[in-house]
Amino acid sequence: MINLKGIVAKQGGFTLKVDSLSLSRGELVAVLGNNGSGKSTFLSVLSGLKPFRGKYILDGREFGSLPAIERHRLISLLPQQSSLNMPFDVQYVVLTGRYPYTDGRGYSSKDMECTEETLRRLDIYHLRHRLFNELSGGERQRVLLARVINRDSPVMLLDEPLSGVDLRHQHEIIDLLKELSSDKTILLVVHDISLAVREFKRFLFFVKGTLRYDLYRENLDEERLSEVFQVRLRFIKNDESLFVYSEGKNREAL
Amino acid sequence: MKKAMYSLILLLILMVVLATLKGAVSIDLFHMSNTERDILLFVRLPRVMLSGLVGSALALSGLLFQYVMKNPLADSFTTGVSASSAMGAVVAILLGLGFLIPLFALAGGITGLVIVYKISSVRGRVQPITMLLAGIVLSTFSSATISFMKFLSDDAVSSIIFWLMGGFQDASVKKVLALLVVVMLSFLLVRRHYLGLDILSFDDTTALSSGVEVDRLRKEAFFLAALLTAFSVGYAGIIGFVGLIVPHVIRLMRFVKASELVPLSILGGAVFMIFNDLLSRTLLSEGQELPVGIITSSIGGLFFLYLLIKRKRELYYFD
Amino acid sequence: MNSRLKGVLIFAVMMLFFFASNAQAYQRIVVLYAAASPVLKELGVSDRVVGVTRTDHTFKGVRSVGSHLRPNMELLKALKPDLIVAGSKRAFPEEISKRLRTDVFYYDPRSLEDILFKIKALGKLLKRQKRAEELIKRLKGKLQEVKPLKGKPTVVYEIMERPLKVAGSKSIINSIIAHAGGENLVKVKKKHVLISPERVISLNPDVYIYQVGPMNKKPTTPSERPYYKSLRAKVIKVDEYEFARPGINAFQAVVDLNRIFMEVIK
Repeated sequence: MINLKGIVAKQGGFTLKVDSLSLSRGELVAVLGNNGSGKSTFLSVLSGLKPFRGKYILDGREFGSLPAIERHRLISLLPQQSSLNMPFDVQYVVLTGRYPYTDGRGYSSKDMECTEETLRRLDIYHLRHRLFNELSGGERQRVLLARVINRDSPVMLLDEPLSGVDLRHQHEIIDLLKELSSDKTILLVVHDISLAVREFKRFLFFVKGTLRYDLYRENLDEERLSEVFQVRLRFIKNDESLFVYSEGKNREAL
Repeated sequence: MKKAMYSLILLLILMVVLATLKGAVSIDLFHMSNTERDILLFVRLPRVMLSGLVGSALALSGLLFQYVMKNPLADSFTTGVSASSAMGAVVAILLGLGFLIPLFALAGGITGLVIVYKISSVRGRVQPITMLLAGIVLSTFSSATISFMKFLSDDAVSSIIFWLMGGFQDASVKKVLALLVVVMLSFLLVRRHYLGLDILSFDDTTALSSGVEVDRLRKEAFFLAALLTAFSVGYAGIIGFVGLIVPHVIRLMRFVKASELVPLSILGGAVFMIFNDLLSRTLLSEGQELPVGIITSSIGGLFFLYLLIKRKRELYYFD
Repeated sequence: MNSRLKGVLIFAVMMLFFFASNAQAYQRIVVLYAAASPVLKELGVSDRVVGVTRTDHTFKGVRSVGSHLRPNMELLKALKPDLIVAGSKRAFPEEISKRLRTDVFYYDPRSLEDILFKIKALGKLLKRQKRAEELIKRLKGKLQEVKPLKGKPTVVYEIMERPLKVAGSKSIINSIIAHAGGENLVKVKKKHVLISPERVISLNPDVYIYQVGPMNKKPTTPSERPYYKSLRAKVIKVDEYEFARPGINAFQAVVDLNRIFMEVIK
């Protein structure tokens, strides 16, 4: 689905580098790394919001050659932070996710149907007539996620979709993402490492703007993780599951 | 929406009829003399039409500016387009080129627009806040220039002052047609971007990743808004508050989507302005007139005071 | 210096002031209302005028002190005027003249009779009664040239096209029209009246006069304006300087207007 080779994107003094990466349909990939390591920039580049050099093949075609509207039908992005300065209700906010399928003037009845289904799937149907700006932080996050899911695009890029969401809904969202990823490519930025290693199978680790490791769960080890996060991390393996905890700052790992 | 639409259309028709029947001269529709018929056809009807269209143009331009600036208090005043159009008009007055006032106003408005646009775009991206600041600076500068020109020419002062307060005495079928074309075209163009305008209310990243060409849409909306303002100022002088009040009232009635706001603002602007012009030419006796800007600004000022006191929440909703 | 000498000196200075301000007529006049200048010229006091407004070219080599609405206070003070001829209290408040320690004469006639009255008052003030009497006599004589008309033509007089303003009953033009044998149809008690075009049409005047001058630069010919399509009046163009200024010119304007009326009535 996504093939990258020699990607370089510069922004001020920061440089993002991805030498080589290939992601296919049916994958749910966690993107990890410390603050400022380039996770969000990476998602921006993938969604076409930031200029880059290098080769980027999306769905078998050169990314640059895709018309804008086509790109947005293929890729949807949940930004880390969002704001809205109109008193729109939840249903309409979710509906706006369907924009790339419209003529710019109005939404079709199919858009309406999809929206209703998505609202139910995300367990926010009961909120549909509430004003978006009057919701709690976690509810907003779920609405924005619903807005992205409503696009139903083959590639979904989610920048911290779980932040501010309560535990119960975190798990519901993860289950939903797993279900959706059966025929999609989903990348999500996560900060909770122990949650990530428990739930996901493939991981991209960013350090200072560079994609350092691209690992499957079975290849994870304490050394590499400690290096990436610059704290000493310990694994506890228990049957099929894996637990990670931090022992605090570790200078040797630097 | 449908209900509001139909009631506004009905109100507009009623207002047009009322404004056509009422005036300095009373006309008996069923026993018209030739003079009365001429007054109705060549003086009053074009005037009612022009005031309605200017109202629509100003309301739509205010609304578009609010989308571009992401600020509910933006209108042709805060963006400086109004003042720079007026500056063009005043130059025409000073040069004794009264008949070229609309052209000069248009030139002034477009110059203002280009200046504000250039200042507020950084690497091809428009910064709403910078735009607002640039607009205020341009507004102040244009006002100062107008004051200076007023100072230079004592005799034309009342002509200039009138221009700053607006009026529809000079209505003609030609102007009505020209403005009709401008308003219709703008409406058709805006209509193609209803959904995009709504998404502009999100942050830029969300809007961009939704597939909205944010900068292009802003540019287009800004240009249309400035064009509408320049035409209005050229034909009727500066008329304040319309672009602010009309969209605001409609938002307070809980119509918040562009597909509702745009048509309702256009209709509401027409109703509001026709009513104001009717007041301006009937409040005083013996055919005396008041500049219409005085009326819109006093009604507008009072209304905003009411909003500030009673409905702070709605006013500040847009964080 | 002994105190007696000092006392004598002070006395002498005081006497000088006394004579300067009272015994003798005003010597340093500033005219802030251009329509009054021809009157002063006729009274033969041109040499006493030390300051005028920017647009006033009646006297040669006289300092300009700015516009009539906003004269430059420093220039005004530097000229040390003992009399200021101003248009109205609104244009030149009394407080200013008090601050400048000068006398002020308001020249703001609303009618031809008023003009003659003001001329007389100015003559008295400037000790030129005789010339004032002569001027008044001459101007009254001018009015004798007015010929009686068969009817009373009705008139609307346009001061300004944009916005449309016409002369009201407090304007000097009202009086000029009346003396010329016509009637100003606009009765509003103002100098200038912002008016609805339809009102002008329904007044249906015999004559529609529009002035051209600083207040109405290059106006569109009324018959070409869309809103005057049905105006049936005879349209006449006049010079603002000749008609709208309440000075000596007003009397000639009456005679000219009378002649125009003669033709219209025919």
